[in-house]
Amino acid sequence: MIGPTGKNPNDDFFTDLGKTPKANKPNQDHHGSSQPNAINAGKWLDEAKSFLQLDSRKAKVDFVLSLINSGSST
Amino acid sequence: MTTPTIEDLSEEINSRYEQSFPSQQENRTNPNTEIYSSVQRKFHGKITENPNFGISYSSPKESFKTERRVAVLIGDNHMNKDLAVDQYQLLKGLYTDEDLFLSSSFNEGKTSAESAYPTIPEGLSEAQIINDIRTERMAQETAVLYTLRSKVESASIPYLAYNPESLSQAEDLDIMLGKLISISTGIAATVPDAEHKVFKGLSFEVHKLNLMKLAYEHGSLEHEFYALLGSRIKDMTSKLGYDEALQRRIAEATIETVETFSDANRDQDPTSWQNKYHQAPRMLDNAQTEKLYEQIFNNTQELTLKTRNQRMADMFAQTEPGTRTMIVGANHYSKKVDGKSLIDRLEEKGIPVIVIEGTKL
Repeated sequence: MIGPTGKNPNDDFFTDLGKTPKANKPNQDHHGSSQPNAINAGKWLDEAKSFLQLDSRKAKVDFVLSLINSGSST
Repeated sequence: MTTPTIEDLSEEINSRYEQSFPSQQENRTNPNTEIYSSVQRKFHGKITENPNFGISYSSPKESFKTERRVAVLIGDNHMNKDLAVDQYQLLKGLYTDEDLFLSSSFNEGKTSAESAYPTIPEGLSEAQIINDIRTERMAQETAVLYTLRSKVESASIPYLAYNPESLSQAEDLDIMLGKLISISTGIAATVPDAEHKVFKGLSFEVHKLNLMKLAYEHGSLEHEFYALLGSRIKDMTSKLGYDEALQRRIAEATIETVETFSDANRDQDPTSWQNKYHQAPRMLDNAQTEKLYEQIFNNTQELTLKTRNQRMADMFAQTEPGTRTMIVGANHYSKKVDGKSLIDRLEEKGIPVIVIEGTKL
């Protein structure tokens, strides 16, 4: 979907993702290593729901790829 | 780019799903529950009269006779559509039989009927319902719930509530995901079932995933669905040791498969997804393929035949006394993992089991 500014508003979401404040508690992966850059899951989802429209197959793929690209860990 | 950890995300999505679809389990006391010896006698009488089904097992131990918690497992093979329709008719008959006093049932995990139920259009005819069962657009238990809950007055109806089992959303998706990836990466179509039995029931998994997707959409949880899908793909493909470029290609192809199937299901056009299934370009080399097979096998063993069986047995044990049915894949009760099948796990909790199976080949 193209927004009033002539660009895809979903792009802003992905651009801004990295600027989201960090969670209060550090997350840990299965190996016990700290994930200080990981953000709060609820907040991240709320922001995705606010800023990101899943109105096309591409938007859905981009959203899923954002999780692959980010280096999310377990 | 920063995202939550996969585990945090999975946990958050599970919690949101449960809030949107709280268990309808009423767990009320059924005043008419009967002891196992009486249930056993009645079921033997009723199933003997039904040419489509037979009882292949009933717990023999003397000490079970006075138990009031009874598990009636109805064997499914996920491939035989006639059997699925027969099971629907069987369950309808059992739940409207005023002599049986059944309590609310359980669901093996094909996206809980309670969450799929509201996504079904109102006013479907019996013929449409049967067609939906044949095409796997509706699970048998969901169809019984849809048909009976609002329409039939009967002693058993207040207890007709198909309760979801206690697998998390991530676990449920992980079971389906390996097989789904095998489709999207072009492997499934190239491997004969005879060689890799893990792929049997592949379409069942894809239908199940679609029911899950419909439920998420119904609950305004579309972002959560795709986030869960993405994070579980990431988790699985990372553990398989696939590099990030391959992870991305798999994620993209898998979403494409899900969407193609979803559209085909909506339009009742099975050919478009079958074309997808047969024409997907193969993107894994032999070593990567073997790793995926191994992962699918491990998930089947660990999640399906161990964790799921254990939790099914826990649920039967934790609910109020009563006779409960569950349509369940035959592997659950015929295969043993760590020396135990679902029957063993139920019986060790003091719950007698009756197994009903279809008689047609």
